[in-house]
Amino acid sequence: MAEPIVQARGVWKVYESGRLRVEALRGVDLDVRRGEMVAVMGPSGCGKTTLLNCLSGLDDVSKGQVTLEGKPMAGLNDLERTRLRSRRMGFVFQSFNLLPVLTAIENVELPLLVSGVAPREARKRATDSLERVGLKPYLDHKPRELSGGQQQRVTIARSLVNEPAIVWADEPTGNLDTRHGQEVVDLLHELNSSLGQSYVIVTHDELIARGCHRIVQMESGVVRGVAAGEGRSVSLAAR
Amino acid sequence: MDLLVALLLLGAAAATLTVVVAAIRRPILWRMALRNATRRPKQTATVVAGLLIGTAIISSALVAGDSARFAIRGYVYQSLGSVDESVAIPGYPYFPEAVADAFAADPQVRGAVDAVARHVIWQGALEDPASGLFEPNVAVIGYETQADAGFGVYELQGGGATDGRDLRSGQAIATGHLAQSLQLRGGERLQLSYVPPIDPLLPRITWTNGTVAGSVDLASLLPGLPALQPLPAVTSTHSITVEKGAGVLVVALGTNPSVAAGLPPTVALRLRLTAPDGTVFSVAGQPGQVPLLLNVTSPPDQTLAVGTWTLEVAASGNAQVQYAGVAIVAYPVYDLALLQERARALQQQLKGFEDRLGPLNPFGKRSTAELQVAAITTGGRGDLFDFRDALFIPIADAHRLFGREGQVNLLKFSNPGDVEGGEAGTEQAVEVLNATLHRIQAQYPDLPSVQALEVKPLKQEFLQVADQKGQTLTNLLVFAGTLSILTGLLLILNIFTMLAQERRSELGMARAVGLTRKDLVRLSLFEGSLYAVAAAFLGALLGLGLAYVMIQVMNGIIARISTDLSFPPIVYRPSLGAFLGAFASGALLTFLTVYGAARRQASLNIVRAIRRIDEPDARGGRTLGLLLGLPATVVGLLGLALGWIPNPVTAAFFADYRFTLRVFGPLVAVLGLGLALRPLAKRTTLLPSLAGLLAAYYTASYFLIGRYENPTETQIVGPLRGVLLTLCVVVLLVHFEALPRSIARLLERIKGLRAIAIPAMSYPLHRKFRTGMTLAMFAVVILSIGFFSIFGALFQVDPSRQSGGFDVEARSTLTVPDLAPFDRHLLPAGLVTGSWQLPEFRSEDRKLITVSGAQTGTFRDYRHIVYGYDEGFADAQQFRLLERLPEYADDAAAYRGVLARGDQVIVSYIYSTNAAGQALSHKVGETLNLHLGATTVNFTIAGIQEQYHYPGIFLPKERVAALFPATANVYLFRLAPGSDPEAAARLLESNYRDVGFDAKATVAQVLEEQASFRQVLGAMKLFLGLGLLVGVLSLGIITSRSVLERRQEIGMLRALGYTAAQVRRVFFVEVTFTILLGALVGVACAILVTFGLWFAIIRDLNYPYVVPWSEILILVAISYVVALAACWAPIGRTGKVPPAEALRYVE
Repeated sequence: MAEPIVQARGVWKVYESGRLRVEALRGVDLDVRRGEMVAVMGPSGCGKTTLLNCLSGLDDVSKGQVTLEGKPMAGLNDLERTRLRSRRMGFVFQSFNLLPVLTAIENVELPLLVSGVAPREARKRATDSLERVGLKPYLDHKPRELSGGQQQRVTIARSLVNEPAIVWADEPTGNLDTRHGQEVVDLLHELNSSLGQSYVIVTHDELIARGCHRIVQMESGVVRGVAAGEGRSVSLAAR
Repeated sequence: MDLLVALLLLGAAAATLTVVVAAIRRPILWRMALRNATRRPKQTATVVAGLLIGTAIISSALVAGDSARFAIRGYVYQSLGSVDESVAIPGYPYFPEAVADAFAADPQVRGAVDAVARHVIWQGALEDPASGLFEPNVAVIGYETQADAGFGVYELQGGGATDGRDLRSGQAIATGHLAQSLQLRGGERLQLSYVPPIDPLLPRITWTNGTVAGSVDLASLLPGLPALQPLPAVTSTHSITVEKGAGVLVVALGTNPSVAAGLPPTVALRLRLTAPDGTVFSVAGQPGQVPLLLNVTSPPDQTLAVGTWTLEVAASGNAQVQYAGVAIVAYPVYDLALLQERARALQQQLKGFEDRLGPLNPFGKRSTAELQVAAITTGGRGDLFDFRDALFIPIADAHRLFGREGQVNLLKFSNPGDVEGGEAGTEQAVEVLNATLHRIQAQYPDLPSVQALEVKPLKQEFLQVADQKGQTLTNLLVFAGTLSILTGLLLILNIFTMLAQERRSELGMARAVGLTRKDLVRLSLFEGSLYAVAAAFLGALLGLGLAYVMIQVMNGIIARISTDLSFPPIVYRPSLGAFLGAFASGALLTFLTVYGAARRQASLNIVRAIRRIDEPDARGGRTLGLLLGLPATVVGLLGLALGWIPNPVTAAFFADYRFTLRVFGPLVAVLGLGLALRPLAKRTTLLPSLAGLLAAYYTASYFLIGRYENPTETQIVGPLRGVLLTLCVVVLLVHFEALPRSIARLLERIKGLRAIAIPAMSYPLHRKFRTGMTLAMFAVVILSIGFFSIFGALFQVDPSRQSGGFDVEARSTLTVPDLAPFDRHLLPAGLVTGSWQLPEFRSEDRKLITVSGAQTGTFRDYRHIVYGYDEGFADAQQFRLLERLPEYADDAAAYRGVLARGDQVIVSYIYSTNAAGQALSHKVGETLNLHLGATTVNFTIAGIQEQYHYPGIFLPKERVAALFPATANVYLFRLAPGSDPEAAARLLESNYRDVGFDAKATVAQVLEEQASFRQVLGAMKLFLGLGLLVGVLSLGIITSRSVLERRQEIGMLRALGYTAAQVRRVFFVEVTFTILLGALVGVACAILVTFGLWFAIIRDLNYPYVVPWSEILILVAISYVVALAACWAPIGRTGKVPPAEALRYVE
């Protein structure tokens, strides 16, 4: 069994606003292994996105410990965590979050430029990344000139361009119709098997979850159970 | 409260009422609006802060204008004190004191006014022997020590006051201004030198000649002969006609020069003048004495007897004498034009005899007096002299010194009430004073001086002028403020567009659940009106503070430039009217802008709004576009054609509006074309294409339009053309994506900015409308300030080009034909290497000079000046000509040619200026018309000088003497190389102090004029700086809103690995880009506009085109630094945005 790339132990996340106290995560334990695709499921407000944010270092945990590749995140300051994100992580969001005025290739090369890669090298790697997701003909297209699925593929290309150890995907097909959703899911599986990165996918879609190696079921801020998935792309046409 | 403020308040009230009614009908919308406004207090605060700036500018302009107006009124109040009306002859010649007695004794006058007093006012030169300082032009005011106390007290320097009753003969009260000029202290003795006043008399001349002989005692001659009867004396008799109104009759008698050079030493002449009423006046000369003068002057309140006077000439001594003489009957004339006309005729009559009238020349009678400074006053009494060099002396002294016993030249009256309140009784007082004057005039039907008296509502007239000047200043400030207000409006539009953008999803949801488009407009309007009212109130308040700061700065400028006027500082005077006016206009402007923005945002697509997807390019309806666009295009093109192509329609209806048609015709055409083509073309293609077209046209227009005729049109449409050009360039630039992309690529090469450049440029590229508005705000303000900077620099030309090579220029208080008799020989030998005397005639008659029938000379107030020059000046001067008639090979030939011909003239370029202030609108070869009463004398313009320092026309000296007998002189001096012109000027003043010499270093004078011009432009720039402040502050507010709106983007960047510092840098680069691009556009347009204007109207004056780069760079640098400071806090906040929270951020 592959070693865990991310380990969460007793993770709590509490939001406090005046007298209001919301316990979004209540003692979550979770391991994500290298090359593994993990789906996080649960009803709205159960803490899925919060878990993703905490595990990726986008947000602080209130209690507990998260380690990435054996390094505890709690010991890192903001700058170090930012560096870690830019070098070891990729992100895919439901609403794509592409800069609308930039072309596909410009969007993809952003993480490389921020990591200090030379512009020429960044351009080459961004082109490769877009080629990998099947968008080579669309390098100079702006997001609004692409379909939703294509936009999400640009996002995926951007998440992979810096060869991360793990990709965090929050509802990657949430804004897509079935056909485009399928394209994205297939692509994620294909990349997972070809590049071996780990994927944590927050989703409401059982079919997407079923295609992952493991399915983490959450409820009210705790992990209710972990089930095994099929570990291969499942057709979304059935839904 | 004036009408405009009332209308504005009415408009604001109507808008508020509309909102209230709508809120009652749709309470749920009102509740939503209220909660929207209060749910994020900090954000609401930034919105209100942005909105209040426009109102603050309006408020400050109104208050500063009001304060300035009140300051000018205050100047009048301080100058006039309690004086409300006056009775005097225009020009202040003297009239009988009996008139003053009659006014003072009149019971009706006593009932209508509080106080009445009289003055004897004249002028002289004053020297302080203690300090050696000298002041050539000092007003000396004789006042009634008792009666004048009714007009208030003299406030004294160092505290205290005196009513002036105790002033003794030989003492004087000096104004603070004079004390400063001469460094006076109380008790000092001063030397006053003056020439007694001369009445405006017109002489009628009767030439006399004949032969007289004394009675010859033959017995004594022939002692041996038997008693002989002595030969009877031979006398000669002449008749002199005296008509009504004559005041003086002078007979001068001498020997006939063609017969004998003088009178034999044994012969004495006698004159006997018999009036029609039998009164006899006589004079007997000593043996050999010629000329013999007999002067009969009527008492001040009488005239000479009308009828035939008999002049009998007799002689004593044993010889026959052929005599020649002149009888001059002088009639006072109080009509200046008539005086000039008659003097001209007289000059012709006297031609060839001037030298023989030498003894009648009044200029030799210089008098001096010693006065002791009893007190120094800082004001209080009024009398119009507080701000001048003046001395107050007892009226009895003035009578005696100036030889005006029984005469005064000003009566003043004070109405009941205080200094300000007295004006209310003006109508009544004037009515009473006029009635009294008419009664007095009826008592003196033959006395021209009494008939020429006029009652003047002095204070009322002065206040009217003050109000006009104050209004002009307010208009200037409001006009300058308009650009700031325009930037304020762009800011309001920007803020509401951003608010709408942030809330698109929410608004989409509202539409989805059943709100109509109108409801969305209402919702925005409700919220906007809450902001509008709060912002207008706070803005109007802030404006009061801003006005205070402005006034302090204006006072600083006044203190620097008004050394001669001593204009008092402006007192900060906020008024309720200004506050309400600003509040109402601010609220209305915000309300209207919000309404416009609300309508725009209400047209959203529900699904796209909810899903936060950008709206596609709205192309609009084809039919509507054609219906509106095509007619507009046709109208615009028609306007363009009418503006450019000469045609009878323009000549008949738009003769004064060609420029307007040329500027707005294309604008309407392009807007129409845009509407018509909108359904057919992409906005991103259409907008820049049309903007580029218009920008190209406007740019070309600066070079194609060489003539500006209508000043009002030029002053309003001209600046608007510059603003339109700038806006076109902004539209063009925001659509020119290659620019930010290239900049991004360039910045990428810098290692630290590698990841920053692309996201920094993405927002300006994506949000073109908002970026355009921000750029426009900055660019328009920089344009206006830059314009004034460059425009000011254009006129800072080499002062030696204005001086004509002369080092010192001087004028004298007393006009003398020759300076030599007044030379005190104080000038070191060799200091003055040359001097020239130019007769100078000044007139405020606007119609005196026209060129080709048109009025000219708008550079300064209408004051025509005629200089006379001779060969010496022609050879010495170095005034270059911009143009000369082709018949002259060089400038020197032109100057000499004019002297030789007599029907040509050389003019300062001011006389080539048209009504719109455009120089060289008139050319050489055109006719200059000199309108002298009933006659017009025409000259051909032979040369146009490039100088403006002597803004007059140059004619041969003889021509000036013939046309204008009574002229002053301007004296020009050239000094030995290395001399100090200012020291020499002081020395010249001292040397010719007896004629009240006022000398100035010419180059220093020119520099001072240029500095004054710069200061005025500086004041304009300062006020325009408010617009810059708006732009700068707005950028802070826009950045603040931008940070809120783009939290998701910030979160995404942070998720991608951007550090907090890098995100801050993204915003920093973005803001820098916006500021610098705006500044670049503004500066470029300012250069383009000024170069265009220079090319069209200034180039011909031989002024080089210059750009004050250091000033411009400082302006840009200050804008940049202050703008960055304003954006510092919001940029700083970007780094503190928690990424996870930002990613899920929904407004």
